[in-house]
Amino acid sequence: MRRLVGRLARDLLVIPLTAFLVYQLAVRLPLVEDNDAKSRGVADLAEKLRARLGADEALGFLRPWQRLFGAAEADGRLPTIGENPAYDRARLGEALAGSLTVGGLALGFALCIALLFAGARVLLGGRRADGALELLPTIAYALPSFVVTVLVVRFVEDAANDAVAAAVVSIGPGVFLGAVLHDALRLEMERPYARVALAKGRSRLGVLVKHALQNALPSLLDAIPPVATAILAGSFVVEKQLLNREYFGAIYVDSALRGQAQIEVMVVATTTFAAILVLVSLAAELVRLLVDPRRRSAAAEEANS
Amino acid sequence: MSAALLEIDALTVEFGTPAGPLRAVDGATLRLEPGRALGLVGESGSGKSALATSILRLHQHARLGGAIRWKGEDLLRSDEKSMRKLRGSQIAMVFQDPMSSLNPAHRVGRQIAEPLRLHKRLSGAAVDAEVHALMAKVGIPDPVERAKAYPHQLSGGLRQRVLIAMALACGPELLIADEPTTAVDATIQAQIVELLRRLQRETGIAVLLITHDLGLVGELCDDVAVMYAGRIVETGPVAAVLGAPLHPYTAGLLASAPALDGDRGARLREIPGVVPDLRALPPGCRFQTRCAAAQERCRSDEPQWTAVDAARGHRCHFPLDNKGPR
Amino acid sequence: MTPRFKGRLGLVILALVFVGSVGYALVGERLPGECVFGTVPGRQATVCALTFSGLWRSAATGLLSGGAATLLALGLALLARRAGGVVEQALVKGAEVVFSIPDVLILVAIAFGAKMLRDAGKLDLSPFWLMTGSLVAIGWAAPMRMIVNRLRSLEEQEFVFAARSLGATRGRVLLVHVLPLARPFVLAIFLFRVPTTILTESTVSFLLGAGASGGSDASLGAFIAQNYRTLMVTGFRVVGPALLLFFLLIVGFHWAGQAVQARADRT
Repeated sequence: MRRLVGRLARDLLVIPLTAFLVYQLAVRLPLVEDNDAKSRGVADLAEKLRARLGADEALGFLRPWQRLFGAAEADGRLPTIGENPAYDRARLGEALAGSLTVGGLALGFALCIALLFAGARVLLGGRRADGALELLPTIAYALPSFVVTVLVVRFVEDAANDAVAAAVVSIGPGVFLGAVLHDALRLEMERPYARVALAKGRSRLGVLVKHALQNALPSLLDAIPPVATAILAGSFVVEKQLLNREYFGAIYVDSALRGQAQIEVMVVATTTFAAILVLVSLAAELVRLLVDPRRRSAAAEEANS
Repeated sequence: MSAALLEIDALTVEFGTPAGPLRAVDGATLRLEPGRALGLVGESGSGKSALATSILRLHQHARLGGAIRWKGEDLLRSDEKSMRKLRGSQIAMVFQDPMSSLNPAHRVGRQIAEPLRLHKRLSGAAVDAEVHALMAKVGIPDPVERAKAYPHQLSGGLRQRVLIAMALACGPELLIADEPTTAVDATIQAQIVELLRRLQRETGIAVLLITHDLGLVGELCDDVAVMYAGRIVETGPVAAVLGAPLHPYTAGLLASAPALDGDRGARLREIPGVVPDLRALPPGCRFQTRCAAAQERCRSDEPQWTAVDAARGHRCHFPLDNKGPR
Repeated sequence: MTPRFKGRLGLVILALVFVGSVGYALVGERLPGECVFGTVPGRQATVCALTFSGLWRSAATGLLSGGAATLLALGLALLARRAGGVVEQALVKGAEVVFSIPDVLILVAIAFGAKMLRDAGKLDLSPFWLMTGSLVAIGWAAPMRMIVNRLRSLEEQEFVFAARSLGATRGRVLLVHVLPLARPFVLAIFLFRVPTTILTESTVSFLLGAGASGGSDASLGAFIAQNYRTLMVTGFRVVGPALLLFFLLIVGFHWAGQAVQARADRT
């Protein structure tokens, strides 16, 4: 049990560690006096910013979070982070929900593409059509999200919504997952238990769905964390270029471009994305425990030891 | 002779490989009658497993020629739907390695139930009862609990019994057992052999036993066919073939088996050389490169099948006399 | 398609792309008439000139950062295997930590840091070298893990035991016996790293605009970012060639890498 808890703690530790490291990077960078602020007679902006960030405090990396989740002002306004634009927790929450919607839909679409692609390749194995499908992973690899976005934007820009954006982002990752799943399914279909299932009277499709797929799922689940990263990068692109909406990814990228004024937003956004990826990785591990009885047995033994 | 249950007539099984087509089975002819047990023996690479799996047409990419008649119907002309109805219900197969032959993600009860659901359309409590009965029949203790186990939670012997239970689920008329004792320990081998013997006695099922173990054939089978380099080289009743082999390869196999009562200091006898590459067979007899009795004719003419009587035959220009080595 | 065929096709594609761009650089500008794709709206330069310069910039970024990352990974892997024990564990753990953080997040964070340094007048580095350095900083981790695993499995071969039994030191075994066998694998890693870094650089350039990889000397990704809106007006005339070259560059290196990897797996 101790080992399981230790592993979980190690995975979750990445989140505060990321917050700390990004914060340290941000506060160690030189802060400058803003020309606009100077011209408006606002002095010592850099010092004020350092103080606001708690740059000299041990737990200073929690400051942006404390501000964000602090009590509302007397006039009811929520506290904000960043400058020009400033963001409150409601706004960031809305933006995050938008990004999670696009990302979640994209992951779902990617899994559907993967199942269709892998299934088609296994059932068509050896035929000419399979040869054509074999080229798809390379084509998808060479067409990252931003290229696909560029190719489709002229056709869908007016009708772009979260689902369309998610579909654009999901193509490359979906084909990649499909290639991984195809390799795993092909191996499973060659295993003796698959032949045993055929010898019992199952059809090839039946063996694929009822036997091979469950055993191939661990390979698919192992590929989800890197795919989640690719979907994250893709969602940054489509939020800005296709949806033209200020979802969390677009806010993150804009903050990077604005520099000093958005230090707090950068810290919060980077930590949030790291948290999302860690949680996706943990979720994939949990699903793996559910589908793989050998993994469950090993985990149970570990817990009992 | 009663009507044959299974007749294999000039069967060829060919696989495509990057180096060219490979004919794993070349003109094999066999006959199996109801309730009888036929042993198919040979070295690794002789084509035994390819022949066995071809009966159920389990190879997706193999090219099959000749005829495989099941109760008079040629299975090579049947469509896939008909074959699926046959597999697991009339003809069942037990594979070699019990660990890899069971789906690691499914409980064993579910795997035994699968043919029952597919062919007998059983479900719910009826299928559970049938599964427990089958497990008890093959000697698996505490079947209710064991049915909930995953394959990795069972010993090798129990997994092999699970495979046998799966094969017998729908009461097939023919059981094809592909090296059923090779992947288990010696003590478990004896148990599996005894189980197969008992089941054959109780159910009258016909058995096609694929093995390289002549001792097993002697214990379980009524007839034997010896295979070499894709061809059947000798067939006949077990007592006759093992007692007085006609083909030098059969004699070599028998001589190479160590005897418990043999001279402890004596050198083990072997058949020199290896099975030839099926893509580059020697001219004439396929066994001539390893045969001590090979003559000029063996090196140029391929021997045709010679039927000694209705039940016995061989493929040799110069068959051994009845004083051949045991 | 066999890996060998893919490898040859990949090399042919790369040769055609680079010969074409060199040919244009040598004679293209001197030919009568403009580039068939015309000029880039709002710029004096032709589509051909900017696309080919973008190609070279992307290829240079990919080759330099891919090569440097692979060499760094190889060096660290050899050091890890040579030292063994706690040092190896620490190096591998470090690589795992770096590998676990998404590339895009790190690059955007670096771009943020670079913006702040530039605003403070404390960054002399050109965007090209900043991007190349960043890609090396994040690109060594995954190759290092793969090379360590490969060296480990090669060191378990019989000939290594034989060499050690004759008195060879660990370092000698690594350099003289194991490294030559690992060369095809390392070459395959390099060939895979090149398109990966080009893709990463292009995605970040597209996200952050031209600034990440230079203003007028933009990489293919930055060029596409600057001009993709012309698709609405002029169709594929402006960005079509860049998109095509980008695709061919990635496919060429990817297939060449697959062929070398298939060969490495056979040794």
